[in-house]
Amino acid sequence: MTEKQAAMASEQIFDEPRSSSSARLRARFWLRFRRHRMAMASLVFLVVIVLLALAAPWVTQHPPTDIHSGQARAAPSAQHILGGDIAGRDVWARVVYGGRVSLSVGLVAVSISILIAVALGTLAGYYGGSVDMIIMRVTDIVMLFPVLIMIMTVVSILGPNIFNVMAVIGLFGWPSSARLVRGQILTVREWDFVMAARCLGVLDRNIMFKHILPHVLAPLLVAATFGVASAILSEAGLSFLGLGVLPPTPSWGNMLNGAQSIFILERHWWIWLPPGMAILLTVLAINFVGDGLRDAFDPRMSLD
Amino acid sequence: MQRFESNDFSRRNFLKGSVIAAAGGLLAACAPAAAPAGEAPAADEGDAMASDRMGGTLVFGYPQKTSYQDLLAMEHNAGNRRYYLVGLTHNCLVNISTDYTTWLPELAENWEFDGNDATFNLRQGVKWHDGEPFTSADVEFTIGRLVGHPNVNQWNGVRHFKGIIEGMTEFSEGEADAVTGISAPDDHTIVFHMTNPYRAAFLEKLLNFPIMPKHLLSQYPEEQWGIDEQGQQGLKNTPYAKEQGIGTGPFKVSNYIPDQIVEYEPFDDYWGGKPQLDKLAFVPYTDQLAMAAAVEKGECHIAIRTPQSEYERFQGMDHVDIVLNHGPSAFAWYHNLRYVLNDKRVRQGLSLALDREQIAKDFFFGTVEGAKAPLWYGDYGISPDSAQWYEYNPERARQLLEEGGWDFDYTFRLGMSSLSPTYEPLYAILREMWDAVGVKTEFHVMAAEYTNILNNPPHDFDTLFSGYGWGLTPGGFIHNFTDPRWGDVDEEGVAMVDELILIEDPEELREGALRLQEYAADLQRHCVIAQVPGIHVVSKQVQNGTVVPVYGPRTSWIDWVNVYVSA
Amino acid sequence: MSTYVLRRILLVFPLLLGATIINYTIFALSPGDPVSAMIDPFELSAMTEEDLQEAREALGLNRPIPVRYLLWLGEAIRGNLGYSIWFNTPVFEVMLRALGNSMPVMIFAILVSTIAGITLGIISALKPYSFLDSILTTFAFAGVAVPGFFFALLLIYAVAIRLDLLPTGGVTTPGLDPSFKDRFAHIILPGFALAYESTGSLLRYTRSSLLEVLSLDYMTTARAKGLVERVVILRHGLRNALLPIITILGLRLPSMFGGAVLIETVFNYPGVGLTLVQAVNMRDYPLMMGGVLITAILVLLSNLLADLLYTVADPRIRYEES
Repeated sequence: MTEKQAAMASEQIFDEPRSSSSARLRARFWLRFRRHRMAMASLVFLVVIVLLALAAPWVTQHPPTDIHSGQARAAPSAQHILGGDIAGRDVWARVVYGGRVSLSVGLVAVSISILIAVALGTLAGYYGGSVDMIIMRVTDIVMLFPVLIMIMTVVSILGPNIFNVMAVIGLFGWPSSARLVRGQILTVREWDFVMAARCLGVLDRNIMFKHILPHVLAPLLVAATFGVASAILSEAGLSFLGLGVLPPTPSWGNMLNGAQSIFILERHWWIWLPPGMAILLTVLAINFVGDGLRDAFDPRMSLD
Repeated sequence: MQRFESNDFSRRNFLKGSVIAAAGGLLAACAPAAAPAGEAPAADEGDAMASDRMGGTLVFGYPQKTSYQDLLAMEHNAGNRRYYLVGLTHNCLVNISTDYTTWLPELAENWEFDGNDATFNLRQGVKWHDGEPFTSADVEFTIGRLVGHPNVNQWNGVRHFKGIIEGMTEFSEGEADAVTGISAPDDHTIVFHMTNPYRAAFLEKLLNFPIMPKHLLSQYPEEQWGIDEQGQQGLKNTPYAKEQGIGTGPFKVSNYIPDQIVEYEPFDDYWGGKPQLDKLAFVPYTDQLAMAAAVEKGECHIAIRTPQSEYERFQGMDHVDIVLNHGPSAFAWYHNLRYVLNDKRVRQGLSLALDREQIAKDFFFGTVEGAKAPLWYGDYGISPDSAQWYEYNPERARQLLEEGGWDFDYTFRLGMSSLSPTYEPLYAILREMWDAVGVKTEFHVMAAEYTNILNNPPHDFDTLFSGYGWGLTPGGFIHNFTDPRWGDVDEEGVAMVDELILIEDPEELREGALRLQEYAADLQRHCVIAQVPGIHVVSKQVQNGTVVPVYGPRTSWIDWVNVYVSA
Repeated sequence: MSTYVLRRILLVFPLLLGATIINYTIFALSPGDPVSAMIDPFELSAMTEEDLQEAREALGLNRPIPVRYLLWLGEAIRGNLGYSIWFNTPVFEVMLRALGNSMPVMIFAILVSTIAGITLGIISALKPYSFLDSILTTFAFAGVAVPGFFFALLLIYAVAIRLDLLPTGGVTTPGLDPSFKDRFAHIILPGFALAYESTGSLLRYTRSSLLEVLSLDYMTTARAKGLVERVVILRHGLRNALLPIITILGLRLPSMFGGAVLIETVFNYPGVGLTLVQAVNMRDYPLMMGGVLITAILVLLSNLLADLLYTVADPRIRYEES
């Protein structure tokens, strides 16, 4: 049998039953997810937040970086529904546009770390032996460095801007996901259908992409969800230290800096409460969704 | 021959002194105010607090980028009274009154000028904290060896005396073994031979140099004073600089935890009388909110340079008084004349585009006024109301930019080492105002490359933000004309300052200062936004120690000898 | 057992070496000339190009990176991590002092979060999907969702200023004679701020771990034996559910250090976090580099300790691994 035939054979053998069962699996997954009420509510909330961020120019009356004279620390009014910040910018516009920035920092950073994690985790898990040993030791070593300290240090060296912040958060976020991928692959590798595919001489690459990775996807998705939440928080922390997204681009993190004054904290709630609540609710919602996903993926945790 | 006595009090002397007084840079707030001998602590008879026992513990808080407190700042000026801490433990030869009107005796009891010579008669019976007597040898050592020594950091120290004291330049450049222009005829007399008949200009230099003990510092070999292989200044690493801090000042170091606190106890044998306080603690605050919270809770009795955003709240508090005392330094942009800002009209246009009053109101919470002149103007009798070198005129700004050939497609880079969240609103407001006249701007955060970009060719930056400009008096201002980082030396400006330093007639001086203002405002090498607000909060428990603030910079507004804290 | 323990201990050395390589590389590749970065700009303008070159040579900066790494490593092994430029003190000494300040806060935070997290987690697991469980879950997630520095700011405002219960920050009350009570009072607020985040994740962990154990066969057996539910849970369930928590606690340290960066800044508390923030602010590269390395070593040791404790607590692991 040639390689091609083997591959086709394996597809016939394994793909046929999987496609019908995967539809069933998806239905069961969705059923379980919907039973997690907080997760459902959070999902709806997140959809709203994302839509607002996407529709930013249409839901705001003012550009986020425009300074309106007389609006410095001005209370909410009909013109500026969430008032003005310290410099006189429209807080509502900044929250909405800031959402774009904060969410994309989260998503891009996590995409970077997931890419690294999948690449290294798959290599380690599939090939095992010394490849595995080296990759896992490197992972162990990177994990020794406290993430926020590393991010802070490297961003301060490279200079703070949105791209560096995304890249650096991503570059230090992969080790735990890589371990996860590797662990999952070690398990899946021993499953019968993979063994069978190997015996049939299917290419490593094909086995990896067609048969193993799909099974790694579920836990990875959960990990990525939590990753987005923690990346948003990391950006907020970096902004607090003046190392986050560079103003005037608003991010929820750098807007929260207004809370660094008791005067503002006490008497100008509209400057710090909106970005604070945006971070809190979004991260909360992402975590609930992640929790719901985990419950839905993991049959052992299914509701009785 | 001219003679300056301790009681010599005249407008004329004041003006002379003030031309170059108030060294720029940090706002120094607490050098020990030397109480003139014989002047008893002013006890408030009618004050109910007067019945309290004097003494107590005073906690002094100040904002600092880091929590590390350097006892003596030996790398700058071999100890500089501009730094809060050294002002408590050490004395200088002379002091200036808090309102800048009078030169006061400190370690020198009186002095006289004769042509190019200045003779100082030193106070007798002064002791170092370890009991050793203070003599002219200590002064000779401090000014003659320490300050100008080739191994010691050169920037802040010797530049003050180079070209002023004879032989200082040769000594500091390693061409001579000693400074020829300093001699000590006896234990209590020291004579300086100067290159020109400087008067107030020379006294002003002395304000920067606390006298160090020869008997303690000369035990460290001079070859070890310099930078070692670890990059550390040897003098700075001596037990003297790191632990003892022995001086002749009113307070002795009693407890020193470098990143937390310095505690002082009164020096019993202080020549100006034993201080009233039982204990004095200096605490640095690295975070604005932490500092404001500590003030509000009464955790510190005197807090200087508190954040302007809390001003309104502090005003509403019963337990504190607010002393407004804005610094001699300013928020300013320093332009690099090598690139796009080469044309004077462009720089003038950028300045005219700024509504400084708006900035003062919004960003500084109304605690300061927008700058009206490029130099600090209080000392010259120029009222801020009549000072009109900076105006707000966007139309004219646009016109000048066009005339100066500004490329409106170019994105002007606002340089800074890091973007502090505190100042972000200020930058945002500035950007908006420049944007309104068609100048596009972007933040140029230099991060790790800050010093490289700034100091090494090709000096690739357009303009640079500085939270603390140098003093806005001509003496400090000269760097604006000479600093290589902002472009070529401006010979005309340098000549004007050099001339001004030697002027004695008050009218002539005032005219000279006006000419310099006009020249600097026209040249626009830097763009001043506003003075650095000095909002100092003093607990009502603090008695007898503070003086009424006057308009302008002062180095010592706390009377450390007489201040005490009531229960 | 001994081979596993021995192997685990020996693993420390390659990890340590790897940590130094990563640490060194980051700083060696950083842009900017370390010499001019080390010197005050005002001083630097007075230096000539020859002075700078001399300084570079004195610091061995003209040699290739691997050679410099080995030289640096040789010094580091002897405990010489260089001098902090700003603190004017050996990096090791600066970090030791900072650790001395941070440790009480971290220990307090670990104690609070462990006790609260496990207790609330048990409560949550006993009545899964109940109203109480939802509240605790929300509380746990909120702890993870609120930016730590923001929570700390609110704590200062509410507890220290409005309620006037605790000091606003710092290590001791300036001017007072040092006392345990005073030290402790300064630890509580930053400790709580640091603990909040960990409490949430620990609560969730205990809950799911306990739920899993409770569904296992031997629990059913125990119940079938007629044991009281409380006894079942405490004696059989908890012991097994909490074993992995040892590892979790061991892995807490890095996030504690991360959290300390922000929280110590807010509380003006000169621990490891604030020291590193200052190093970053002042571009004190030797301190940044040494500080990061020391935190990594501490994490390494805490992981080792957790693994060894786990071995003692769970006999199964010895056989599985060997």
